Amino acid sequence: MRYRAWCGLAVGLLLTATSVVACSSDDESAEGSPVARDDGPNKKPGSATEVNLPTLSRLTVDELQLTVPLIAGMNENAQWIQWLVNKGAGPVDAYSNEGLGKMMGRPDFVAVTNEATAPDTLYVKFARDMAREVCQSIRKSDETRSGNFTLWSQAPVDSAASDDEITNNLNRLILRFLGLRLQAGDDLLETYRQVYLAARGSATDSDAQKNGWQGVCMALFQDPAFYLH
Amino acid sequence: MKYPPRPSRRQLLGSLGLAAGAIAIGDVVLHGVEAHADNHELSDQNLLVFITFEGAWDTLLSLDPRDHTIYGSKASGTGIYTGLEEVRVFDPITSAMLDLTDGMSEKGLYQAPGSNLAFGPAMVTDVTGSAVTSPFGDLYEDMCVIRGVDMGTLTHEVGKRYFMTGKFPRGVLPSGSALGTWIAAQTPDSALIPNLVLGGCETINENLNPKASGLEIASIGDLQYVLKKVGATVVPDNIAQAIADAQASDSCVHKQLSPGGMIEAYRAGWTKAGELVDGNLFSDFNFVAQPTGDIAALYQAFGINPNNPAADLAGPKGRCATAAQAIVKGLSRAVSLRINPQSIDTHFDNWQTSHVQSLRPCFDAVASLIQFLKSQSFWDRTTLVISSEFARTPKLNNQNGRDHHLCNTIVLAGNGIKGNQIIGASGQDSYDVVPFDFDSQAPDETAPSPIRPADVHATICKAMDISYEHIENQEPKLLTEVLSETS
Repeated sequence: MRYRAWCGLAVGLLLTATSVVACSSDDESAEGSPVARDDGPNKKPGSATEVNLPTLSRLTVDELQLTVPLIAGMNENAQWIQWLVNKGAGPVDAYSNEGLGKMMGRPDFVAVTNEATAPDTLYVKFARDMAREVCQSIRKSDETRSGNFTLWSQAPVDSAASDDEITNNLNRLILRFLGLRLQAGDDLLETYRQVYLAARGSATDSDAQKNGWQGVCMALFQDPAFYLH
Repeated sequence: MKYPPRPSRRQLLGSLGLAAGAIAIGDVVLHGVEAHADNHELSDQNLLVFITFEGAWDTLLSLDPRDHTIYGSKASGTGIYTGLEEVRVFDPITSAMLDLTDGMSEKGLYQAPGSNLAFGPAMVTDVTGSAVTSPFGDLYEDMCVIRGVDMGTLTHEVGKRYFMTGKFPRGVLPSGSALGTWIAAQTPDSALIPNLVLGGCETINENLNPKASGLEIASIGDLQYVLKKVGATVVPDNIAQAIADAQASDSCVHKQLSPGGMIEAYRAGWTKAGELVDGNLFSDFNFVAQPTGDIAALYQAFGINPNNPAADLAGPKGRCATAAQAIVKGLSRAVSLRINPQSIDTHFDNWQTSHVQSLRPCFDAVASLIQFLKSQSFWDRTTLVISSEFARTPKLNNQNGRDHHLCNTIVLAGNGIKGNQIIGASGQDSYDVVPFDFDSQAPDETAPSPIRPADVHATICKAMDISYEHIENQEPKLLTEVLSETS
């Protein structure tokens, strides 16, 4: 099993690296013209609305329910950090059917047997809600610890972090949230550096730096690369 | 607190590898998506309200009734029995109707003066003295009743999905997209929620623009989770802007999600989600007790108790009021709703005790919906569809209930529809589907085929002045007599 896990990681990262090379060396092909698809005899020409089915899909509600706590980690009470909503009878897991799970499209296997995996407005709306609330919970949890932080494991917040420390922490968070190990200077890395700097502001005190990492957390939890696969 | 299973390190590493791999190969396997969105304003668009009675309605009690003085005896020798003698035991309104001698009520029928449409006791809301009240029946000028529609199935899911898409399902799985999705897909950017789905109604999007997918709201309470931010965390503007910039970045990783169009769909949803919660829309749907302004007027129009609205909001009144509000506030172009909160699938003596009582408030709420849309000047652009997956048998079974029956009735009303008429027919003795001659637009026992859901779908699209190319492989035939001259 250990061998298989490492193989999975290795193959994944290899493919990622390959595609990154392709992306940076051939932007035109990356943007690409649509791949032709044979729609068979039922294809109606000239349709104003029909589009080809993409093979990408969003994470299902089940996948989100399992994934978000894994990324958010445990709080100071050794409980998984979950997205909780209060629907009248106290907080419940937002991804459960008692929470928002059914509204987000989880099938009930009575009337709905398939989950539509296009990222519709409601799904993305809840992604934004989740990002705010869970990142706030992660920050609160980190603030109670003396080490083993989730949001700032590679960069200090009690003193001004160096550029290298900020880069290392960004890389760690991108790996944690998106499963990507980026090269130095990668444009996504720079994108998140800008998020950090904007959220931190010009101050470098502890609160400002925590704001910066919380901002990065919220942005990563709203990144399309987190949801689409 | 229930903990999710804690992953082992190797599971986590494996997942990371697979996730990275999936992202990496994304651009290899993606197919093209080309969204064609016309940016028309919603104020120019034809609108759809699609209402379904789930569980199979009894058309003898409602839309395709029979004269009780002829068909009111089990020994009548026909294949039809009104069952009103059983119903009247539990329903004072039916009983009062049958006791009248006004020429219609004793037949178990309501027909407004000037109307060509006779309805059953499910459309009658009150009988006081000799006065019979039927808000739905009085709207006959708007309504076209299509009888003798062959549903081709007696399975709930199949019938429901057949009529929803206009295509016969694959097994029980739907084929094609829901009508609301098709309408919304014509102009997916014209409304914040172009395709709103209420009350547990199903919705399906097969191959259409993801932005046209139905947004399903199970209850009005859930609407607050859609139109407001969930949670109390406030994000300062500068951080919100930085997040928006990151989300829209043109990075290499994001480009690899682009060829299939999914990232565009995600980003469109992201932007629209911001508009949803920032646009103060929630105030239009803040259905609280003792409201003021527009909500108070809405409550009054639908007969919702302003002091304790919860029960009314959960039922047909609330569902229709929400649909109406979504239309008049420009939130949606198509609204689909399941109107009945309780099942009407009454195979046993619950048919006798509850069926007409379940249908009545639903038809009453539909009447309020029409009146409200008229009062807000939206009716001229709204096409209304009222359906159920099929009908119920014309004779009672051994349990005093009614089973499933193929021959259905559909109501179309509003924009593009010629009202005060009946198209098609069910058999006078059998209550079976009577074939339909599409050339003469009349029932004809010798015609080769009946009216099918695909024909009704195409006719609705024609009435709304949109294409019905999505069901061309069903070879639909238009019910031209249903269409108004402006269609």
